[in-house]
Amino acid sequence: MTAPSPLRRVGGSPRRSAGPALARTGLLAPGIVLLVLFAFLPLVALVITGFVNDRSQLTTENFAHVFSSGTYLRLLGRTLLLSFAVTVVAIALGWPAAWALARHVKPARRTMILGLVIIPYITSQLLLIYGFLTLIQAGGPISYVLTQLHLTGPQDSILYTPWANFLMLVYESMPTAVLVLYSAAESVSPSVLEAARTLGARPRYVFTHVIWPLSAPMVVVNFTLTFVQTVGAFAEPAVLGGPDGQMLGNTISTQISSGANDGFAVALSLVLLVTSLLVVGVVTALVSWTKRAQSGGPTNRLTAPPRPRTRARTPELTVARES
Amino acid sequence: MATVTISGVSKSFNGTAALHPLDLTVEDGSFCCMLGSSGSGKSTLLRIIAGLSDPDTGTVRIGERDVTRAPSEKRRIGFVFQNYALFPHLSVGTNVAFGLRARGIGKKEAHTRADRMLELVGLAGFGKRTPKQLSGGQQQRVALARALVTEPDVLLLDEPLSALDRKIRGEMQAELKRIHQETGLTTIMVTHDQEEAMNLGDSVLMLSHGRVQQFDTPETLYREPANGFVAGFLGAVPLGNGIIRKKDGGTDAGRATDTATGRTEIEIDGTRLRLAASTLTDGTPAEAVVMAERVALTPASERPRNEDEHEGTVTSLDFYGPFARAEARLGSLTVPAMMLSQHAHSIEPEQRVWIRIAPGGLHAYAAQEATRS
Repeated sequence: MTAPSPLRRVGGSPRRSAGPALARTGLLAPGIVLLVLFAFLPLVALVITGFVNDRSQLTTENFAHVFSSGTYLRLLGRTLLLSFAVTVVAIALGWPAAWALARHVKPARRTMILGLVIIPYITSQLLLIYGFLTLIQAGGPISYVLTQLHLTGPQDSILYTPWANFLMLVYESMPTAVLVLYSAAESVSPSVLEAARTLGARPRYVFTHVIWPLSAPMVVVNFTLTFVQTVGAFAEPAVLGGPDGQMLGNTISTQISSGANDGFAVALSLVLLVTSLLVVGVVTALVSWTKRAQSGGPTNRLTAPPRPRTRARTPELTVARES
Repeated sequence: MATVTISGVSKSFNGTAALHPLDLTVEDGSFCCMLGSSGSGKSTLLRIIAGLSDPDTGTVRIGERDVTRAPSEKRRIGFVFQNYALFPHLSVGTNVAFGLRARGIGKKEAHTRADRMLELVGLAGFGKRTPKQLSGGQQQRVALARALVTEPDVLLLDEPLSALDRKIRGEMQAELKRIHQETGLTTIMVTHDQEEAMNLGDSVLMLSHGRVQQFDTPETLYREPANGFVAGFLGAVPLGNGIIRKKDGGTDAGRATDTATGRTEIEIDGTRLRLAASTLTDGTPAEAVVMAERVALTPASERPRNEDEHEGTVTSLDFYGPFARAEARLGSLTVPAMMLSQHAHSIEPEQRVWIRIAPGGLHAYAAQEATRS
């Protein structure tokens, strides 16, 4: 493009002034103190526990143990895969619901529905898990109905299988998905969608080129929140999962409560932490890549504004043709 | 380019009629303004033409094509929104190229054509910016370029200038006029600003409560408002209720010497005022409205009263920059008068004045019609 533009961009982020620095520190301090005391220091302690053995020597034997054991690696793989599936399914189910809620439901009713969505949040997690257990166990309401319809035998149930665990985790992930994707749906202005249609874009093109790029940041937020939370699940697999539905979380929990080998349990946790962060990182990169690819234009090259040719001798020109 | 033909289109929302069945033909290449206040149905009608809303009854044709059931993306229209509706995640150039890319035109050609269109709207070289970096007026130019680049059959504008401040609005009006002349594109614009409609439209469709009040050229609309609503929207002020008095050049007893033939007056509380041509018959109760800019006040001290003037007293005088607005008492009536401020220096409250209401400035409508909507 021929742009011999001597105009300097003036739109950028406003410069921070030194004045409210004190106020900023004051506002941030409580949060920082909490984070240091209850997140950072425990993490340091964890790392130390993981790398130090009974005789107070530095060691990597705990990690060596993790990586040499097929059982634990398989468990890690299953945990990551299951969490990934749970997150994707929750997003796939939550998105249409959130979209409908933001677009096609009257505001008054919308508040009520959002309130209902939040209920699982304010209910004890164990209560939810045992409620789910009663629901799906043999002889429970679902089993009863399916038996009456001759679809299953009276003693069949998905309880104590990976499926029970999977469904429970999806169920628990739904409120986050609906809430986060609701705000994504709200951030896509209806007139922008209409504009796309009047410009000749078919529904599919509107989705890939407008809705997806505009929603992608919130989808990443949703993915991160749900995935990280699900990866650490331990009560669900312990109660519902049965022998084949175990996850790394409840294995770690068992290891720690049995008191046999804290160092090994910590090594497992750290491996889980790092690998799940890796998954989040890869997914984030992937999503922003598709977003850029679909946007198509030279937007991504905008980050480096053309440098003014001379040091500002002339006062900064603005682009205001019309002011 | 195409004629837009609307026949029998109506629409209601939750049982409330937003549009009563209406017909409209916008000629190929003409600029039609749909004027009305909020809730008049003007935007609903535009959205129906665009396919963003489905009519309950009736058909919409663009040229020879019946597009009533066609989705927006197949109507070959350009639509400009009040809030610009630019894609926030795309650069200006990509925004403009969007419609071409969506139709499968290659990236390189799409961007070349987008750049050319940006040039047309006076934004050459802005392609790499993001919409956020532009002012409101510039964003609306981008939206216009984006709508034009696909070479639509008809350009639809939904209050495109109402989010802009006054000065930029004036510039954009000139811009729209120029682009319309250059492209010759059939254009339909919705606005609530009567000056804007008058300035831009070859024809103006006046809507109220989902009904067409008048469809005419701006000049006819101004000179011969069809009813009290139209007159009121164009700035006419209610003067009072009275009775129509027809004079057929001398048949009226006692005034046989009157030289004028076929003139109509309205009598309000004993005051008789001459009307613009009216179809109302003698003795009809009617409501009179007056256009303040067609009332002239002359201080009584300056000269004797002319025959077509009435005697009155100034009650107030307010300045609005270039214009001044006075009110004068004429019998029991309050007559507004709008004048250039430079002509207001000889006017002051409590002053005795001669009031002249230009015949074209006083309209009367049958009493129930004036309030009909």
